[in-house]
Amino acid sequence: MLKLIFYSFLFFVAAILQTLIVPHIEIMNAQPSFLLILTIITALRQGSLAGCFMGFMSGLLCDVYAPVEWLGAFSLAYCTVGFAVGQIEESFINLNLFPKIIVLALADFLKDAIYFFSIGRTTVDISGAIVSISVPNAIYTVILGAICFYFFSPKTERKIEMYKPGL
Amino acid sequence: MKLFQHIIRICKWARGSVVFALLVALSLYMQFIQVKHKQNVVDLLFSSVFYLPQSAISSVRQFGNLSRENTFLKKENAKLKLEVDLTKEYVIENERLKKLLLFESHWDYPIFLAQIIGHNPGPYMTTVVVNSGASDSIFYGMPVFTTNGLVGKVSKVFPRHSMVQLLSDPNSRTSVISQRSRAMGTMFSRDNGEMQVQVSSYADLVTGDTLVTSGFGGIYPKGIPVGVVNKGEKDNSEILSYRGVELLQQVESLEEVFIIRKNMDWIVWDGE
Repeated sequence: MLKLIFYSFLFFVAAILQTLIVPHIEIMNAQPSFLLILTIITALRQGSLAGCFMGFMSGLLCDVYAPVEWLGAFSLAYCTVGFAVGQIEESFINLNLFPKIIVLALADFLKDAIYFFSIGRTTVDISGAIVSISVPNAIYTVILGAICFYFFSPKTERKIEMYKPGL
Repeated sequence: MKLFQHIIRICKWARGSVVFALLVALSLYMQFIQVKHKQNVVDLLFSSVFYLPQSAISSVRQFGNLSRENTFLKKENAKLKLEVDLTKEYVIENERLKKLLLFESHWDYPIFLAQIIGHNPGPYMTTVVVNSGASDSIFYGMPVFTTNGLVGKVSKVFPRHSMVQLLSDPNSRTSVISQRSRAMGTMFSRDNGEMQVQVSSYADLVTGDTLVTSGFGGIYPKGIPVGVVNKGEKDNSEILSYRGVELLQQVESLEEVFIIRKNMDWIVWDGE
């Protein structure tokens, strides 16, 4: 229950950061995704179930602010990413900071690929969009994600250590 | 035991996979419904699941907007205040210029407006500096006044500014005449800055009499108001008496003056 409240609070904070702060910290049209970072952290710490649920909620939040015609595209992308990263967490328990950053970068590309694929049937040129939008956003997200991972890391490690004997 | 653990992990994975499959199905469903239904879904999400984050975001945005609006209004207020102040200044200036127009009609000489840009240091003001000089056709000895009364005369001229010797300068002597009794005298300043008029003991000069320039000195035209007699004092010689004078124009609050473009009628030379 405490975890649920904790992650709800984190979601609440990430939603505010994503909606209010991100437009002000934009660098050359590149925007970080705090919701993706939260999804990855949740998936890496709590597994695929929590990851895909957090991803779905994050995607849904992005969807409600996106054009209504594309409703569901972000939910699908974030949910898939959360689930996939959760699977990684279950397969490779002890991830260090660098692999986590790689996972975050790959997750960002996967999220964008799914999103553009979902909406690609309308007007967007997918490959061009990935190069011009995804890459700058991914770099920015990875930089901020590395900072977040650094601050969340000791707790995560302690938690893993605590749960290891129980497995 | 290991088998049991494997079963638990499979169940956990399966549970995650089922939830994932359901959420993916829900996402796909949302993508393929009609646009008007999508709008309903968005409205529903805003009013239920995302009500709290959305209201927090709205509050923060509103706060930000209020802050911006507050800053904008403060700037606007400062700007308007400045405009009001300027308007007040213009009204006062307008009044002054109206008075000047009335004043100017009494004289045959052109009048020039000059700003005061400095004054002499020390406890008593004896000289002020104005921003007009020889380049504005200002010459030595031109009378300086305001709509209230006489101020002094131009005592030194530079290309772009001039010095004005005030009536309160102890070296200044002004020939004055009573507007009521036409009694004549010489007005001067004592060392303590007090203004006095020297008249003959039998002159009809009482407290409250207005003194104007007599026009005898060759510098000031006749009839410019100078001051009001405020007290009397008999001289021991019984030939002359001295009366206190309060100047009509106090120089401490002066910002601008008018200079009469009039050359001296004659010069009284001391000595040879």
